[in-house]
Amino acid sequence: MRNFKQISSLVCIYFFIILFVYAAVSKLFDFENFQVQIAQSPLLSAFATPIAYSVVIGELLIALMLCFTKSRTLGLYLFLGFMTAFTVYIYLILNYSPFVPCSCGGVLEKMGWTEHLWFNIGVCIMTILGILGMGNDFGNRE
Amino acid sequence: MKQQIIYIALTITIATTLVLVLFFTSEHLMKKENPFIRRFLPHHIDKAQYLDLGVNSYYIAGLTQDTIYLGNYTVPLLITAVSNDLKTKVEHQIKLDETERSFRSLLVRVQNDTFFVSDGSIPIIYRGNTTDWFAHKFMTETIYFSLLQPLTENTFLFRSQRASNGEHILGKLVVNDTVTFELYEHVLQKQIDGVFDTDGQLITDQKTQQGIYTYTYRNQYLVYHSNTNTFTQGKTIDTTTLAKIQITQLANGDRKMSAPPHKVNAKTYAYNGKLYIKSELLGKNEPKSMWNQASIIDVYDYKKNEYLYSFYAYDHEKSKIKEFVLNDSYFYGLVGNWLVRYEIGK
Repeated sequence: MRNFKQISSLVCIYFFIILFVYAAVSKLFDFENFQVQIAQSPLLSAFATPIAYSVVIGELLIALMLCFTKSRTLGLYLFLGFMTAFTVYIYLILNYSPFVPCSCGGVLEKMGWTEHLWFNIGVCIMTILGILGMGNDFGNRE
Repeated sequence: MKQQIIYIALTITIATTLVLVLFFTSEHLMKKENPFIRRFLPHHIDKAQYLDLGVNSYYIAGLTQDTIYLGNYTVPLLITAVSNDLKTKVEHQIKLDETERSFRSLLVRVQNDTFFVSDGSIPIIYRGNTTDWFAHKFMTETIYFSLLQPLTENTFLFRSQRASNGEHILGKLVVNDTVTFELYEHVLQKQIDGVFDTDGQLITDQKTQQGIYTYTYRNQYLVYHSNTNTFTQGKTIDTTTLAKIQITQLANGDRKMSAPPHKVNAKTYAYNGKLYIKSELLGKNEPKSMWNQASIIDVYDYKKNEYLYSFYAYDHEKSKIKEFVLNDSYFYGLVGNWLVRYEIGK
């Protein structure tokens, strides 16, 4: 049972790493376009440039932190923070924006905004379970 | 376990607050003190239809719910009425109640079923009804004007020049049994010479009966409020607060622009509380490639003095849009020899 838990939490973490690296790289490849898109996004237009940089750098840093056991716990909290921010952002877009903008990165582009919201909520829940599960493991080991 | 739940709750709260704060600050910045970042509505105007007019000397004289009226600079008394589906085009010849006078710059304005023919250099205004296109002398007092827009059936906003120094000045004209007019002395603000730097576009919103004067060379517009007979000032999103033009006085006393002017606001239109300005400047984070394909139109709420959004009006056959009008359902523009009609997205 404990083995299963460990494996599944590892799978989760690798999935998170891939998700963030993928998201960051697909933005980097078309950074100018990404910046334009954020500026066009109805909610954060005024801060487009700083947000564009901090999102990409943040995603890469967090992915890196998740790779190492030492920084993994902090990485997971930051990951949760980022995902919550994205989720709230999507929620705001769907409910308070005069129009819904076109774009996200890569494969996620195919996802509609509502599906995206559910996907994000799912990932958030997975992260929370991951943090709790990991905590237990550490607790047992001590 | 307990500690982790607290950390998780804390993380979620901080992240949520951060996004909310960013969102509200951004909204405030965009609307009130926009740092020249545009927000483009995708497909705001769509489904273009074109009507070939044959020549490019047309201008838009007016728009009603079912018809767009075009005037023609080279045939000043000819009005072309195009139905809102662009399918029928009827030409009307305006008849005046006198034939002796000669004109310099006749201009026709159609407002509902009334039309005005004016020439501010004579000066004269005729008024008639679009059922018979016959116009009678309406105003013959010696009030010269360079721009004129009807506010109602018998009141007008106009722009004139001071006799003493030639500086621009705004005024209102009321034509009843007698003609009265009022000049607004300190409304147009002089920055350089009071002539070139205060140049702009005068328009009226037929739905709200308010007038708007938009400066061509600086990021400001003035809104005229009929009920209080006052002006308030609004700001467009670009950063040109001081007109960037240079003026040279020639030996014969004429003044001319000595460098290409830095144009900010081109054609304007107002409808139902919104001000539409064709901008001449590229904002932050905008694809430059669009500049060769389209013109940018910025939309403001001129009552609240807020920036709302922007949209592209595309070129046609390499021509840029010259002027435009719109109502609740359609956007019309003159592009080269063409009249274009777009549907307005909701």
